[in-house]
Amino acid sequence: MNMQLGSAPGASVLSCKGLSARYHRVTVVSGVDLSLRAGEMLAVLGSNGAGKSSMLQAIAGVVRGGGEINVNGRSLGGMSAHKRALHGLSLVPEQRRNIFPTMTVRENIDIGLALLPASEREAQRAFIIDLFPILQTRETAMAGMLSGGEQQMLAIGLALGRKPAVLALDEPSQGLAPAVFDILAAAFDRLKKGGLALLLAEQNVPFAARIVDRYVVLSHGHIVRSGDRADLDDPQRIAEAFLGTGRG
Amino acid sequence: MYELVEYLLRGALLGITYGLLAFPVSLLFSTTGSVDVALGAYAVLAVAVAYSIGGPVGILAAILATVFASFVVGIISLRLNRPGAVDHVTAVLGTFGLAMFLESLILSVFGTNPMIRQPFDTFWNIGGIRISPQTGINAAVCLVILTALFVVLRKTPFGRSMRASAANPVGASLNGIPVRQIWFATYLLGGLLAGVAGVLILYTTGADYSSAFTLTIWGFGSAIIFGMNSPLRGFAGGLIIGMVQALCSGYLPGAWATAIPLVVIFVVLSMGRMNQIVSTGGRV
Repeated sequence: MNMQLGSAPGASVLSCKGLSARYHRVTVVSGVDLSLRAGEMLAVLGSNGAGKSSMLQAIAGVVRGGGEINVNGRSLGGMSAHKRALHGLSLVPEQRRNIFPTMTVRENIDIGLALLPASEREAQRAFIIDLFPILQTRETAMAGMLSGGEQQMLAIGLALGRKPAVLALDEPSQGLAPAVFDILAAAFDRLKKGGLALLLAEQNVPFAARIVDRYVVLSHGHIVRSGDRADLDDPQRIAEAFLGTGRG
Repeated sequence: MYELVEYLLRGALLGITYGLLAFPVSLLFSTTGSVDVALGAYAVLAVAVAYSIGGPVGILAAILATVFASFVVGIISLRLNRPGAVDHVTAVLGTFGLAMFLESLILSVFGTNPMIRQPFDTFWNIGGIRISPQTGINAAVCLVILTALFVVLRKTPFGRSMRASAANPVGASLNGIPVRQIWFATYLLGGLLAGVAGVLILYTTGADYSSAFTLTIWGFGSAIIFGMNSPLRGFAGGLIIGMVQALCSGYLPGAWATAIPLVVIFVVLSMGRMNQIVSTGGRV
């Protein structure tokens, strides 16, 4: 079932229409429509295998897909992943697969900053370090030697390096200590206030409920439910949202 | 003792050309995860072109020819591979086919005669060891190339992108790095280095149409000794192979002189060296 989300006030930063994702001939996501405003965070909820990661990867161009994808009015459909990154789309994949384990933290951040004009790099580096001060402390460490939480912060810092318009995050809370949740939640809140549009694929509904503005539930590759954050404050509704049951 | 030093020195100088072939083997493997079996054929192509034209123009034409050959392989690779979805077997078979084609082409055009040029008829005497000035040129060329490559890989944005593509191709794409173009450039760099190696071989030991796979084997063998993922260490492996060859030539009967270095490569492979160093991807 396709579900058109309610149109959000203000200019849409990300809009997807008829989005699909496929592996060879197997289509795992289809007919997804969604939009995202600047300063807004949208959660894509769903169980394992629902298609959340595939959807985000199709938006980022890592997985083959179809449909319209627009960022700030520019169509990204048909572009390769690296060109989408050039046009304002950043993905932090599941298990921090955007980082370079055999390179230092500083080298990783340098890669993220490489797409910015040279005159803006130091300011953006300072912003990232301010967001996650631990990255400065661990600057000379190999990324692969960091703890899971530190790697997640580096992965997000790396993705922020080029000042994206949209930051997509695939299960950023996965495998992390609860203490790290607070750091991530504070960082996401700050990024939202800075006008960044955030798209969060998450199984951890309580974590998502802390930080998102709206949510959609994905089941078998289709959006089956959507709503506001308030729905997620109710444990019953959380269960319904996670399972994609109850009222739509 | 004097004899041993002489063999080691001659071997190291011989190993320079193997090192130049090992460097692209390692670079390509660490960047793309693939192997270009045609590297030896590029070198022989360079030998043939430089031999037939001669002089600086011949050297330039030789290197352009090998870069063009690697361009063809790069195109094939681009057609087959993208980050997250690679087909190494088909790509390697493609380079094998190109190597066969180049060998046949060289046989048809240049025949079976050995191709060698030796511009120097004087020798340097270093501590009683007679060394051709050509080996000095080889060493100098090699030093310049290695220094340039080290600077490019370690100090430039292109080198950083190349190392990032090697360490994590999907991550590199997500960070705006054009991974497939980087892979393509790596193939061209391999062709360039093989061309230089071919020119040095022409002026040192010479080659004939059938030398291609032997050179590929020495280049590959050199690359695996200290790790397929480290181009500079791959070069050092070339020096080792050259020294092993020289020692075998000096101390063993003829047939063993060829066999023993191959046995060394086999032993290194059977020790699982290739697998041990996979995790160092992206380092030089």
